[in-house]
Amino acid sequence: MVESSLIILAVFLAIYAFVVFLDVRKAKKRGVKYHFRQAVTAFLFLLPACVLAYFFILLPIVYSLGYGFTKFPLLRPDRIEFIGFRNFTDAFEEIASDGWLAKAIKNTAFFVVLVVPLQIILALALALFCNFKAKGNVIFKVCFFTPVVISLAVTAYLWKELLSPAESSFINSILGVFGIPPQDFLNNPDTTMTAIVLISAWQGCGYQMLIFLSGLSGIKKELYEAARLDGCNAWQRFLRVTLPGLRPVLLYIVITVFIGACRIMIQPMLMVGYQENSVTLSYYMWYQGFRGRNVGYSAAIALLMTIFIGAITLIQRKLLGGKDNDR
Amino acid sequence: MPKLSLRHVYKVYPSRDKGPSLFKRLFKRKEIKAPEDFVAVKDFNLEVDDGEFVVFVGPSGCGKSTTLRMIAGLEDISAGELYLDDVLLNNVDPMNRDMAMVFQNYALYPHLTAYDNIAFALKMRKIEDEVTDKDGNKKIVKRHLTKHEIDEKVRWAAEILGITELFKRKPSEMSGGQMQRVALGRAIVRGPKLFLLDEPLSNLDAKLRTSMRSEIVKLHQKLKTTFIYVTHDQVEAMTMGTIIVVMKDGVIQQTDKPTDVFDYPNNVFVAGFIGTPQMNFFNIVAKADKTHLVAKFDNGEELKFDLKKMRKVEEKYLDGQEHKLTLGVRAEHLSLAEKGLSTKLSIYEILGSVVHLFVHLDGFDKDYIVSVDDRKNFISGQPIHLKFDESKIHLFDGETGNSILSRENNND
Repeated sequence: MVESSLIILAVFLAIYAFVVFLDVRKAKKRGVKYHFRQAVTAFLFLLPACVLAYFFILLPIVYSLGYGFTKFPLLRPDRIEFIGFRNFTDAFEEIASDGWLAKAIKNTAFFVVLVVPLQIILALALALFCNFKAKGNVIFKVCFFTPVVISLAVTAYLWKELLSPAESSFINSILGVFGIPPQDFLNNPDTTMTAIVLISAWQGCGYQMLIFLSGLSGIKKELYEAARLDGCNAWQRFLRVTLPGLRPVLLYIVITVFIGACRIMIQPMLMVGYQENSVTLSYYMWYQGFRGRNVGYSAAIALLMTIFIGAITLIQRKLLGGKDNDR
Repeated sequence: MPKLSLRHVYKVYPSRDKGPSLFKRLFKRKEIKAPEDFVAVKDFNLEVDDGEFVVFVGPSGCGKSTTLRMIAGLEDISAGELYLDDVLLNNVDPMNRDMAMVFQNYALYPHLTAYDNIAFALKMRKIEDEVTDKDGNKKIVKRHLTKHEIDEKVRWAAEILGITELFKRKPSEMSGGQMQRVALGRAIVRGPKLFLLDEPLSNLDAKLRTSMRSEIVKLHQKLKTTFIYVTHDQVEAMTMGTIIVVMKDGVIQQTDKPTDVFDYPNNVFVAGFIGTPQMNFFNIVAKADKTHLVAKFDNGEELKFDLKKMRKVEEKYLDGQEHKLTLGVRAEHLSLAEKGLSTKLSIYEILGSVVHLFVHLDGFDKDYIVSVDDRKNFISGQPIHLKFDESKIHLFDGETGNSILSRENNND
């Protein structure tokens, strides 16, 4: 273990030195007087950040890459053995036989497909609402942003209470007023993921609202005035001025919300537990690694997930980013 | 019949001051003053005929842009009436006013090409079209312009402004001058009833500004539509406008032809604002009878002016009593003489065709500018005697600042 991390460190340092070397050469080509010592100084300043990145980003990535090809019982690292692509074939078999992994993929896909548009539309609506200059607007902003600040675990338990099947729970007592019998939203397979989608969108949208707000403040007031004189009504102004103005922000938001949604785990874990109707990809991966003590398999799933998310993100960039960047 | 008419128009912004604190309101009732509202435009009256080029000019914060924005409908009118072709526009939405505006920072849509920017308004609007149905009845139908019609109009506008080669570029790929041309194209393509231009040249460099100035004037002559142009630059106002509206603190100071504003300023502000170099103002105590006016300057010197050579002075100042007045005279209407107001030369600037002499009264700091053609050697501190061109001097009341001269000459 120690030896391998030392090897990784050596490779890392070698790359680092190579970058310094390239940088100095590039500067020489451009005719800039750039001494080796200056380059080293510059990169020494970067070193602390690089060390942290090494321990917390590079090492875990490289190790989990490696573990994907091994059988690794969690509590017996001494029994680690290389098994090639067996973990991956196992995963595909699990999908083919409609096992837990297939259910996790289904639940995650359901969640992502619903939560991404819902959360973004909600955030945009809140941002447009808060963007009006009116007295007391700050109160709304704070209210909408508060769920972001509160820990996911706290809100998960809070909603678990609010949605509990007991007749006296908050939601059920409201339903009772309308004569609807008490519901168990979280454990009913038809509603589990929908409830989680709504709660996640509520929790997350405040953050995207802030980003949208800063995007909105970047759109010049004159553009709206010009559009009014050009004959646009409010809806046309939104379509023709606001949305194009928000495009760079929108790209960022779509990608981050999508990646975040793919990793959904805490809400189903704390509110429902490991059940067929609530298991998600991350939850499955965590469960296999720490409960099933099969780290190798878990790492293989993580690798597949990373490749999948990366691919989708690239596609999104292509679709939303357009050919050129507008100012 | 005037095309555009503004009658007693006011713009009032409610005070941002929230007023006295609760403590003061409860315990110090006597000191309470209601927060004062800010009046940006005060009793604005203007009648504009079809095809005029009206320029609103004044220092920043004088309410000229606010007035323009009220005409456009981007600001509410607090009081008064706005008519275009005898239709009251106060509560008409900007999109239905049929006006086009050019903004200082161009306000081009950043995600659209120049072509699409110009075509934008055409795509948004519907036109009324007469259609004959099967039974031969004529009906008026609202419809969007066809692609071909839009293309024709965009090309027409682009050719006038010479921007056809910019069609495919986005605003980020254009220079300031090019963007302003596209913004003008966007305005003219619709053929609006009124053009509103809000300091369209202030973001351009000096050289480009001069050439764009003449281009806008040419455009006005070609289109023969009413233009309303806002600027703080008096040179732009003088060279472009057929009518100048000089404003200060939300109040119209003078509405006149450019030459009249220059020759017959209503008050000290207009006299000082229009013309470069700025008009010289001397504080005088004047005593006038039927034939002569004796002016006593700050340094105690007295000069005699022949009333016959001057424009007519208001009757009440010809009573033989002393009156505090301001004497205004432009640099080119002062000349060097053997005898005259004695001053000393501070510095001089050779501008090429003319020389500006900065002179001051002995014992006083304030500089006056004299414009002479002669490039002879001047020495700082040398005594200079000034002669006034009596037909060109201006007299203003010392307290109100209003002109006390009529436009006619005495011998007319």
